[in-house]
Amino acid sequence: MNVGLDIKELNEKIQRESEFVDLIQMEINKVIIGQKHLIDSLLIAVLSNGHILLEGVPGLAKTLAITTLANTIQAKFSRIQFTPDLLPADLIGTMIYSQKTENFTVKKGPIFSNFILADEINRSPAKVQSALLEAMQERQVTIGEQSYKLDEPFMVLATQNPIEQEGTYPLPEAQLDRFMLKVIISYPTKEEEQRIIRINVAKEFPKANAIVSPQHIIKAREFVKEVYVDEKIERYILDIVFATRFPQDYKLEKFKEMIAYGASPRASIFLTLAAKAHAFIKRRGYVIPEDVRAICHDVLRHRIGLTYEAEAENITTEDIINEILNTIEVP
Amino acid sequence: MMTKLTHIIVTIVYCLAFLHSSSQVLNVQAELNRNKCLIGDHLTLSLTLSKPLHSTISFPVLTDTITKSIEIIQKQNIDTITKENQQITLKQNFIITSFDTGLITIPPLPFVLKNDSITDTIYTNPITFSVYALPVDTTKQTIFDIKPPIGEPFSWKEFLPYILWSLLAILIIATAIYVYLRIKKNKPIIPIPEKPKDPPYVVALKQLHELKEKKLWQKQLYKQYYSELTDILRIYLEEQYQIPAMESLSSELIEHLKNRSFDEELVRNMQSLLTTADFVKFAKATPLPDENDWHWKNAVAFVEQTKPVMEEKNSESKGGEHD
Repeated sequence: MNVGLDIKELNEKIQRESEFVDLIQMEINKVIIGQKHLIDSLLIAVLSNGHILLEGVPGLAKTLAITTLANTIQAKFSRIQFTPDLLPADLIGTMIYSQKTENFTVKKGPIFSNFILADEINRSPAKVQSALLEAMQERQVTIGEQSYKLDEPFMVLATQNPIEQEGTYPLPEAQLDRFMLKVIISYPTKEEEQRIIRINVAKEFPKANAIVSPQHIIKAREFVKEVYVDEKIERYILDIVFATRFPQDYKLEKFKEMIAYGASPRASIFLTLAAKAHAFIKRRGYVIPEDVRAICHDVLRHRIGLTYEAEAENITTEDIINEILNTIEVP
Repeated sequence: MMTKLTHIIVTIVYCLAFLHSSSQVLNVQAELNRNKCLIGDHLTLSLTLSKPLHSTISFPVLTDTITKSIEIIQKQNIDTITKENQQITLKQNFIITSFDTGLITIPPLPFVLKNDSITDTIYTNPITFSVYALPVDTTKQTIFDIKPPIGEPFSWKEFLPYILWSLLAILIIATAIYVYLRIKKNKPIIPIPEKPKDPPYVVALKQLHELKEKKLWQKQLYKQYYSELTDILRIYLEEQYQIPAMESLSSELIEHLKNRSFDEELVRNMQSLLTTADFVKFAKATPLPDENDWHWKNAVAFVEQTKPVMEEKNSESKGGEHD
């Protein structure tokens, strides 16, 4: 069989250029036990220039995962604990008056890093969240009258605390939409947790080595863009997104009253980009339906609004996405 | 023997200009045939008027009662009793009754005299009569309840129109609901019986042969060829084995086949077909001519070897009968 000449070349190129992904995964796996989905999601977001919203109980190696990823690609990492008294200046930086020079000098905030862990983002008031989300969108911040470009690669990994609701400021839907993926982290398996116990008791923490440079990641993003997406796959993605908006057109009348609003066009864009990145980390030069399926939940779960009827009947966005995937014909 | 209770109350003689002699008199009387009766019993009240022949005097106008206690049951016409010497005597009888016990009085009744210049009223005498109730010995007589209404015998004829109208209304409502549901489901109002469907394997084999005759891959339409080839197999698996094949990924479909314990080689060939189809559909791959034909043969073999055994036997026996 001859794979189409362009695709064959592309496939070979992608296989060649995506070698580093396996190495990064190996290095991260030395430090992180389990959490394969989290690591894949981090790589997808890094390679497709997106941001991740994480949800999971404390102690599931969120910070360790992103620190390790930062180490493997020699990137700068900042962790910001969002608190109710945090100010935008604490995040992006401010102008400080120097008596010695009699001038204002710029003090850059922790956002000037490659990877930001915005811990418990829903603990801060809206103005701080807006400052962060604006930086995520614009890739630059303005201090005083001067705008500063943020370092590339730039990725925000925000966590939301799902347990405590008191004293929190949940992110509005429009701002949630800016996160490419919302990843739900689950507990490790028994075997994985047994290995975690042994490592922690022995205090022999392995360290991840640097594999690639940030420039390598920026270059890899260009290869990800080149991954071939057939028209059939595009139509499959559109069917999935449109099914969240008009479920009655896809034999899903039962969800018509359950969905307050469907996924935005950003969902279609991010589904395509994330599917390409998934194909890249699987070292393929073209997207197949498996890639779309693999990232579908993470892309869509925070973009579907549920009605009170859905909440009353304990219908979750996961149920809706599962039903959509089980109903729409695979190309 | 009837006691006459005649009481002349008023005898008034008017010396009127129009009377020609002083011997002409005006006289009115009210009489009852009895002065006591049982409750509800009938009495006859007679009103008599004696007057000059050409004078105009009208009788009292009585309708259905005289007083609250005295009811008029029958009113007779005015009758002439005597007519002589320019004098006339007229009489009118009333059958009256009373449902009140005790002493009842008929009040003075007015006769109206009318002349060219004079109008006057002459009254009869008041009459009193007694009304008695039936004596009841309450020490011996038991008290009975009020009798209930008398029930009519049941008749189907009486209820038949209601039953028929109700049945008609139910029929109309049921028809309306049926028509509404059929229209809502986009189905014909009168269902047309469908032809019995061919078994899925028959349909699949027929479609596979049709696909071969289309010569799609020979025309370089590889994508269409493999899309149709995989769709035929997916629909066959869905209808024959209820595997959600159309909504499954290639990898999921292979897992379903492995779980069904199909022959390993069949599953392996199917996996190869699906992988090639994915390459063609999503990576613009161009399989070799032999490969296209080999996958088609594998698809036919898959259907042939996985079709239900019972159906095959049935079809064979049917074929035998025809022979």
